[in-house]
Amino acid sequence: MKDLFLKRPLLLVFLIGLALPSIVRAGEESNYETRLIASADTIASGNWSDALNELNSLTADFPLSRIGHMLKADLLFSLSGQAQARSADPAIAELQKQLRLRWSHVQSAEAKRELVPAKLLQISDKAPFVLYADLRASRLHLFAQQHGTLVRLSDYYITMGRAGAGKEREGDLKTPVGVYQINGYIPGGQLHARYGAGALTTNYPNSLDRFLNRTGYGIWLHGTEPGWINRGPRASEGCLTLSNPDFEQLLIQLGSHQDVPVVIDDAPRWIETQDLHQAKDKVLASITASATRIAESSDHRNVLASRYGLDEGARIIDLVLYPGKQERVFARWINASQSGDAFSVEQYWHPTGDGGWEILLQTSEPAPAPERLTADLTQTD
Amino acid sequence: MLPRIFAILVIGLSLGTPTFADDLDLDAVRSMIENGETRSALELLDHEIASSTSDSAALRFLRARIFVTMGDLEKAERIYRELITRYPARPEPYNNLAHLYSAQGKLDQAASLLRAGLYTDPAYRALFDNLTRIYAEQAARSLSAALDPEDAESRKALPLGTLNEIPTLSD
Repeated sequence: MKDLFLKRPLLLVFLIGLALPSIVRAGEESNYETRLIASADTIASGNWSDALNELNSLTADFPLSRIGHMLKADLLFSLSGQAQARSADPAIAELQKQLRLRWSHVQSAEAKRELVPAKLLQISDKAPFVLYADLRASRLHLFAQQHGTLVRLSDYYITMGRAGAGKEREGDLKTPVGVYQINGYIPGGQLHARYGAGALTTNYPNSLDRFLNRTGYGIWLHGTEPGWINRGPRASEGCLTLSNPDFEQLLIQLGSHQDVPVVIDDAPRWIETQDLHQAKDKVLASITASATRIAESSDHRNVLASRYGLDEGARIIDLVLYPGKQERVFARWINASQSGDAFSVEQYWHPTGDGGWEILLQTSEPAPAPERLTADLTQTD
Repeated sequence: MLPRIFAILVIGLSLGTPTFADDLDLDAVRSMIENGETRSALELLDHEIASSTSDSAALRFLRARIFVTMGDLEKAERIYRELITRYPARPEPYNNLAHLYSAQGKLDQAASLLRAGLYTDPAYRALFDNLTRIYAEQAARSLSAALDPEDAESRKALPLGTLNEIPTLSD
C-alpha cells in the first residue's frame, strides 16, 4: 500500500483531497455556534452588509439553522424599512431565547474560562471526566481531571425539560437535579428518530431520589430529532439534549470510559480553583468529623456505619455540594483496605442546624463490572 | 463630536460639484475652513451670495457646512431645510440633514429624508423601491424558513406578485 503511494504520490494527494471535505465539514459543524454568534455580533456592530454575507453563508452551510434564518429575516426586514415586522409566533420567541442564552454564554466564556463549579468539591481521581449540566445557562460542560483539578475540555448548548428543573414524578416533564452517572450508551440506530445520534443513559432515579420517593425513569443525554440542529432551551420531556454533531463529539471525547459522573445543577456557582480547594477542605473536615463522631458514638446510627463496614482508613473520594433546594452534601467513601474497586459507600448528609451534619441516607454500591461505554463508532447499527 | 463633523464634511464635499462664480476661490474658502477661520469664510460666502447672480445653492450648502463645523447645528439645519424647500430636486441637502438628525437619534426622520433624497431621481427611486421590495420578499422567506426550514411549500406560497410592479424606466 505504501509502495503504491510512493510510486504515485498524486494518488495519495487525490485520496487526501477526497477526505478533506469531510474533515472540513466536521470542523464547520463544530464551528456552528461560533459562526452563529459571530453573525449576531456583526449585526450588533451595525455592519449590515458583512452580516448579510455571514448569514447567507451560515444558512447555506446549515440550512436547518432556524436562528440563522430568523436573524437574516430580521436584518432584511430592517433593510426594507419594515422594522416592526417581528413575528409574534411563539416559535420565534423560542429561537430568540436560545440565541440569548448562547450569546450570553459566548460573551462570558472568556471570563469564566478559569473557573470551576463550586459544588464539585472533589471527584474521584479514578474518574477521568466529569459532566456538569448548568440548567440556568442551558449548558453542558465536560471537564477532565488532572491532578485533582478540573480542566475545561468543552461545552455544549443543551435543552432541558419543558417544565423546568427539579424532577419529582414520572411524567412531570422536568429535568432532575443531583449527582448522577452515565451508565450506558445506545446508538441512534436502535432508537426512535427523536433521539438523533444516540443516547447516554443515566441512573436517575439515584439512591437519594428513590429514598425521596421520586418516580420516573429514562433521563438521558441524547441527540436531536431530524429537521432540527438544536431545540429551544426548554423543549424535552426531562432529558438533556444536544445537537447531533455535539453529541457525537461528546462521545468521541468520552471514548470508552464508563461511569462518568454527571452533575445536574439549576443554581450553579463558579469559583476559582484555589477557592474550591479551600471550600473542599472545610467541608471535608466537617463531614469527616461528623462521620468519626457517629462511628465512635453509641447512637443507633452507629449500626449503619458498622453494617456497611467503613474501616478506620476509609476515605472520601467524591464530595459534592448536592444541587437542589435543600442543603445537602454527597460523599462517597471507599475503604482503605480495598484492593479492587469492589465496594463504595454513598452518603447523603444534611445540616443539623448547629453547625454539624447528620446522615440522611447511606447505601453501599458495588461498583459495576467494567463494560465498554461507547460502541465502536464504525460499527453499523 | 469633531470626527463626526469632519465625516459630514467629507460626505458633503464628495457630493456633487458645485459651480461657483469665477471670482470666488473655492480652495481658499476650504483652507479657511480647515484652518478654523470660519468667520472669514462665512463673510466671504455671505458677500458672494449677496452679490452673485449665479446659482447660490452650492454656496448656501457650503455655508451650512461651516455652521456644522462651528457647532451651530440649528443654523445648519435651518439652511438645509431652506435648500430642500427651494431646490427640492437636489439630493445633497437631504443627505446632510439626515446626518444631523441621525446624530440626534432621530433615526426615523433621517431615514425618511434619505429616502426623499433618493426619490429626487426617478431612476434611483425605481432602484430603491425595487431593492426594498426584494429585501422584504427575502425577509419574508427567511422568516418562513426560521419557522420551518424544510417546508418548501410555505416558501413558494409567499406572494411574488409584488415584483411584477417593477416600473419600466423611460430612456
